[in-house]
Amino acid sequence: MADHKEINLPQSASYSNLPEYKDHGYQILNSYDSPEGVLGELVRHMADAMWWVKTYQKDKDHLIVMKMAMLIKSRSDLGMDAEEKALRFFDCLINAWSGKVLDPDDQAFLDSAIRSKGHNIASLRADAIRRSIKELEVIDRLIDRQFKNMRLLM
Amino acid sequence: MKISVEKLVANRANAQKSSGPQTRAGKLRSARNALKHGLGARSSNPSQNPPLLDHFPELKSYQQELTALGYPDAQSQEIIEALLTARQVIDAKHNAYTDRLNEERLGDMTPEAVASFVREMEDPLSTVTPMERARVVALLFKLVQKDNDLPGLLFEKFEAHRKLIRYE
Repeated sequence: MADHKEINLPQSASYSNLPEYKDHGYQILNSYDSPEGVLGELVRHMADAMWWVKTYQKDKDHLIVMKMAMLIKSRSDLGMDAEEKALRFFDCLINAWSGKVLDPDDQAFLDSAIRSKGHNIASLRADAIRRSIKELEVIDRLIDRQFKNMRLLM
Repeated sequence: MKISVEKLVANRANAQKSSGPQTRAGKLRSARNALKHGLGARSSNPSQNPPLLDHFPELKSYQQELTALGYPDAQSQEIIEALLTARQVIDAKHNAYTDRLNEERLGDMTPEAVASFVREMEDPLSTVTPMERARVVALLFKLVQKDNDLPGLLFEKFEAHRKLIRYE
């Protein structure tokens, strides 16, 4: 059997043309010895469910960090650079959270922004989660739905 | 680069002047404007959806495979239908999970800035009451807040998928 079976998803689905999405599909198909026909179709559906679990999980983390950034921004004055500040804060937090070493400027910016609001990083995260609990419930439901899909397909 | 309030309001005002599509092709196109994914409009019989099945010719060959495996015609039809629905759901999910363009968003402004903008935009000869102006300002400020709620913009994508859960 071929190592790579083309995933014939609808052409209008631009997101599904992403190389990483296609690679993900190929990997899952290959792990099942590249089945064809109905079985291949079912494996592709399972690959899609796995893709969404990963995507939701990643974006759930982003949502929390974005909320943390906005908590810092919302307490400062509105200005032309307010969003820029929030986005810089978001980048710093995401990098810090994923274990990357921040450059001294970014580290100082992050520390002073958190301290100026009387928070530490854990309390800011807790506050962000508390304020996004309804949204997080929806995301958890979406993740749960994908696991159900996978169970049904297995 | 985000759109300015002036540009957005001008765009919306211009859109009001449109008399809609004139040609038959344009009318047919615009008739599908409100169609989001069409999942709810699907017939229960896939043979009544030949254009959709034409998009996925391999699904037709799956039917032969299922028949060869000993599935009765009706059952293999059902399986094909389920696969077709699943593909449409996947398609709709991918289409729904897109970020809004920055160009479609309003810049961050204080309520005072919105109010001053509305006063500038007013026709000097108009007879707008302070109450009416306040309503417009409140509405615009709500849009400004919505467009600058970054977690909210991110959550819009999840919300679009939540609405699709019932089709999965």
